[in-house]
Amino acid sequence: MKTGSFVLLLQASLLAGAHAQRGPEVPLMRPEEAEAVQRQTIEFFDAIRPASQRAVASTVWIWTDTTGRGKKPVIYGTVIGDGTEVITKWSEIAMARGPILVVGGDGKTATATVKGVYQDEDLALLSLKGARYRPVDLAHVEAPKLGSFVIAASPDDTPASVGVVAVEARSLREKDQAFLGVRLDPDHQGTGVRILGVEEASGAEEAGLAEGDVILSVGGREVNSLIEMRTALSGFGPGQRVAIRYQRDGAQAEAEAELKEKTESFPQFPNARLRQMERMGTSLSLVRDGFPSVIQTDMQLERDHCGGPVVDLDGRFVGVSIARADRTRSFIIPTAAIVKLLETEPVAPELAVRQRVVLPPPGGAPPGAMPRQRSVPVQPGQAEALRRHLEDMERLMERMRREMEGIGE
Amino acid sequence: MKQRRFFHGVAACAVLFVLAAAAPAREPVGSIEDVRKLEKQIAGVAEKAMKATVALISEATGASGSGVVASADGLILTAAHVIEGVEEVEVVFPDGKQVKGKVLGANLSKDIGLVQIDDEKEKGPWPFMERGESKPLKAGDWVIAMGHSTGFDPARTPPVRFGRVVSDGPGNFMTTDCTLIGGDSGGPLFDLEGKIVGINSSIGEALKNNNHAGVDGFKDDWDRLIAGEVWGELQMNPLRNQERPVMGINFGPSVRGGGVVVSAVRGPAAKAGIRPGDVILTLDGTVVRNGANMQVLLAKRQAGDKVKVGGLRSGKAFEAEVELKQMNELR
Repeated sequence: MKTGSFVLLLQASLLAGAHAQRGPEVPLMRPEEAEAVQRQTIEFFDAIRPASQRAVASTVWIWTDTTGRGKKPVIYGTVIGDGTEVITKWSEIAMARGPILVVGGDGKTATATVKGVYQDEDLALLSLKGARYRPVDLAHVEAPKLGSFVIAASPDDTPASVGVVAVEARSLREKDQAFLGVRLDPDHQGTGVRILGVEEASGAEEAGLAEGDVILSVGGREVNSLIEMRTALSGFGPGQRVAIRYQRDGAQAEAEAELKEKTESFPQFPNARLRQMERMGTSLSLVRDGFPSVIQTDMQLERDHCGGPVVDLDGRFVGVSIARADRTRSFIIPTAAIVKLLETEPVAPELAVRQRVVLPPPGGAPPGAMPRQRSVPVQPGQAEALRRHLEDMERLMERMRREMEGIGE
Repeated sequence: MKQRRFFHGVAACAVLFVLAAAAPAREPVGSIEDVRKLEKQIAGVAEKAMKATVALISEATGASGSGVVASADGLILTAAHVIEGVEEVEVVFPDGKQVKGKVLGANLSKDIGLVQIDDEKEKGPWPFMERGESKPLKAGDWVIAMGHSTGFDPARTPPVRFGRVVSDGPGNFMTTDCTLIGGDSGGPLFDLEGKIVGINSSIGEALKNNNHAGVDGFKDDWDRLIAGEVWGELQMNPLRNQERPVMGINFGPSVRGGGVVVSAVRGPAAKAGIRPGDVILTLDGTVVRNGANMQVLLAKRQAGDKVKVGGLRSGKAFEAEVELKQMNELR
């Protein structure tokens, strides 16, 4: 039992070693502190192990060749249905050449074919032949609450990671953001927010709002700053109608505007320093944003340990881990969203490759925001080479941005 | 021999008792039931702390950090580097409510600062969290970090992170494995009772290397901070921090097999009777390899701490107790 956790710690320290070239993991950490922390980690994993026990049998390794350098386990999968179906992270196997194998913790092996793809969720549905595993129980659809423990199972005894719910389920998809269509004056003083301009064909234009109007409240909520305006709108979704009270030429008026989907994307590039911090101490998932419904956790999940089931302290299945997003965040697609998703028809894998080439979007722009016409049908080998080049380019760009910032300072 | 062991046993029990009493956070987690208890505490703290965890945005510089309201009348604890060079900040609560804040004082060496909510329209009382103590914290104590990671986001509440202290010190700082990122700076670190014990300060490459300023720093510098004084120096290297604890010794050559020769003394070391030419062998029982090693050992302490120095004077063993002082207070 204990050996599992030792292996985990060893892996963790090896990984940390690879990253921290400039001395120890935590400078000035005393040996007795390091020992206490390590002992505590083992104790903690021993304590939570019973909770993840059932999910171990529902967690599988997905073996395939994505690089041309031979088969290896690339990602975890979650067994569903009658035990002959698996959901896993699509972007990690999209470039698979040759067969895909599924291996359980007990060594049972099956061959898998991609039955379909759910692109927004970055999930692939696999159909298995040759073995049957224990499926997860999708009955418990209540999402875990803020601060609750979540445990990512692995095919062997020791959980892949454990963390807490950092932010309850929300959408990261851009088109789920409500869009009113007003540009606001950042220099406006006093009550309300002043409109600088109204977008064409937007809900704001249809409702008759115009430049110079001062919005006083949105949906009954007073707004006196750009942030308060953004927060007031974040409570609504596209398609909803919202009451807007505003002031024009000294008189107050009321209008109702329909909120629309945000269609055009204005990706905001985080600054170079933040981009550097995101990567510090970890390896990130290729697709890590734009999901329609995710729970944010502080789990420190390795990129190739995503795709497996996540359980609560009672061992109940609460979702599938879908991405390591950065230093502080790993995402889970909650059970309720998975149940709903499985009721819909997935896209055929051939179409999915054509529609979304799996590339790390520079600057972390949501995959949905990538222009689809730029995607090209490619040979698996070419795609891998392209991906490597793009990763190199991204690193180069990052370095240039950092240097530019240095010049600026 | 037996007798001695017995006394050691009693001493160990006494120490354990004191630790347990001072820090309930260090309860061992041996079973799933213990983890459940922990979960309840984390969820309780997260829910309560959410309302008091604010984003601090400077319109002048565009910088965005975090802070925590620590009194009903709107006094906010934050990191010095979040409010450095600004006089006014926008204070944004997780529900989007926005008020004005006046920057008070900051100690850059400890990376702590104060902001007072000062808004014409909105008066308190504000939701707040109480201050606890950071000095008793040791490796293994459970903690909860919060902050507006990567800046205020209306679509999300400030993310909760759970972890433990992995190392106390240097000085008033401590390190935890609650992962932080830009925007979290100035946000609170809580113990399991929901008391503020630290303020998010900086990160290193490793996931375990997340640094927080101890909340006790505020107590030590309270009057100057309230008075609006800004002093000190931001310093990532703890061995160069102006406030690092020192004895007042200049080190000479190191001794083969451990120990270092004292070349000059002043301040606390002089007061404690240490003389040039003495050889220092141990610091609180830990063998001192050389001068650099001694500095590292000292960096983990705090000014005001008393350390036991063991060494040789003219070939004879001696012991001295030295009360550490801040580097910048040495005369």
